[in-house]
Amino acid sequence: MSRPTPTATRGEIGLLSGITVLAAIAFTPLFDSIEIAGVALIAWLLWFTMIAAPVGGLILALRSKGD
Amino acid sequence: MTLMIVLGYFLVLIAIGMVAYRRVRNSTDEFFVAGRSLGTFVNSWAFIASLASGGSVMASVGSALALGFPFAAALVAGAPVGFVVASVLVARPLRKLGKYTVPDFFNSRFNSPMMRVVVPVLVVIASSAYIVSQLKGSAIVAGHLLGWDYQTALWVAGVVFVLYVSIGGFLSVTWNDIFQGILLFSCMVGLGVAAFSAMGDFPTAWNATLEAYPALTGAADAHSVWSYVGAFLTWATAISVLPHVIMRVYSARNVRSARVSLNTAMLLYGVMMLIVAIVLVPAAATLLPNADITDPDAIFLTLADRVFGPLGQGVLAAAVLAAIMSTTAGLLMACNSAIGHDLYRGILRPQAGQKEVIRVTQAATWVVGILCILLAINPPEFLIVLYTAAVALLASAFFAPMVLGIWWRRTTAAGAGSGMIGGAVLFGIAFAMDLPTSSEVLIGLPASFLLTVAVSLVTSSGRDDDVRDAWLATQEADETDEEAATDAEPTR
Repeated sequence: MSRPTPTATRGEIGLLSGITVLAAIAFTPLFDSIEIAGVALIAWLLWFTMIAAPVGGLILALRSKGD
Repeated sequence: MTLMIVLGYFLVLIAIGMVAYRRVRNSTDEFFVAGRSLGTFVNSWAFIASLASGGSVMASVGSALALGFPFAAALVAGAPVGFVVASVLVARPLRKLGKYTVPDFFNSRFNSPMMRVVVPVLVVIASSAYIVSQLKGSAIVAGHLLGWDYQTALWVAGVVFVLYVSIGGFLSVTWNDIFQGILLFSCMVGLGVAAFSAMGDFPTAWNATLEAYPALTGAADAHSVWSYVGAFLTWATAISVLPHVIMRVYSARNVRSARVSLNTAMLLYGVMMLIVAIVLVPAAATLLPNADITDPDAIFLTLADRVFGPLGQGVLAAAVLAAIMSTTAGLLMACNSAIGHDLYRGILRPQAGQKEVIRVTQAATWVVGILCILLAINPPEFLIVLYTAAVALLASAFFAPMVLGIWWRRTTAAGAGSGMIGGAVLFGIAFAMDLPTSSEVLIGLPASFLLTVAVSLVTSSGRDDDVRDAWLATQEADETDEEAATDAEPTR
């Protein structure tokens, strides 16, 4: 009998989707002209992603004991 | 003082390697993955040390000043995201597989004779390019701080890391990584505090920096927008297939530990990179008004000279060398494993015993290490771009076949092989063309996905089902049971 393929949890799918959306917004040329404290929005969004993604991943990993 | 600290640091690394040798000399499980018993604390620091390299530490300040905050952010943000992607997409299946290397995964999932050769060869080529770039960094640091000429510094630093990798295997790399990771993080925080104090009023320094370096502020000015996307995507995907990262996933005591340490390490790495962007860049601009941004790798060290005393400079030199040598050691371990475990035992002499495989691997360590040192004598410019190209090659070749092989049951060996070869070849062609910096992966990676899917659909005849089901059987172990069993084991 064929064995089942591994599946991702809703949290994991949500995390990857969130990263994708943040990256898409960061790289969208529409926001090129926006600056915060003299620095382009793309840099702030990428720095935010750089911290938020591991925080999200860490929360998911710490909650994964029973999965 | 600086010389004494750096020499003392080298001696500590070699001593750690010799202690590790007593544990690993008779067992491939110990030599390649440290007995699969590394805990979360150990692997978190080791992951930081593995990722934080000459480029991401030493070139970070100068690259931001030369290329702007947006491009520097695109370069450094991809890696933390990549670790999160790896923790979700590949950490659990690979740790459950319980092997040693990236080629082991492809052999288990596809059992393809072509991949048995192509995967380890690509690992060796890409890792060697990465090692050469790191060796250049180590020689620059040692030369700058110790007054040695480039070649002397290159040979001394190169031989030290080859020595401790060859004698102590992955356990030596790991113990050294912990030491190096903690040293690096502490020094970056210390440098941040010292630079913040030295630059005076922060808002004034920040505004003066933006005026002095207009390129810092703009989006998509330094490069094409495709360079920004490519730099980010390269690291966001490559981490899942970087051989020295995957070996560390295999070495974790269980799935949960692997995933927690991947994310913890990247949170700490993200903090380091924020210190660079928010503190060290304005500090460099303020304290080094005549900095030469055409040599971005040297600005970090010049800043350290400016804000640290002799003792601090020596410790920082050791920390930067730690960043470089830990990454290089991990890559060298990936190279020697590909040669000793995947090519020698996997193809040439499957009947080889554990001691023989370890001896071949140790010999391979010296051969690859010396070759990389020779190549680094005349190294390419711009450290960070060279090693980004090496990891982009791995991402273009391996990411799609690995991720689809894990998550899409219809992936066939022919499909994965086509995606792998097609991704690597198209990346190579793109790299040879005059495309925007770092954008080559935007051709190689999608092509690899398309080829893997298209060829798998065409060749899906059921011939690969047995191999696939054998792979899926490795994924059915109950993680809770596994943790209960491994929780009783001592953590190294």
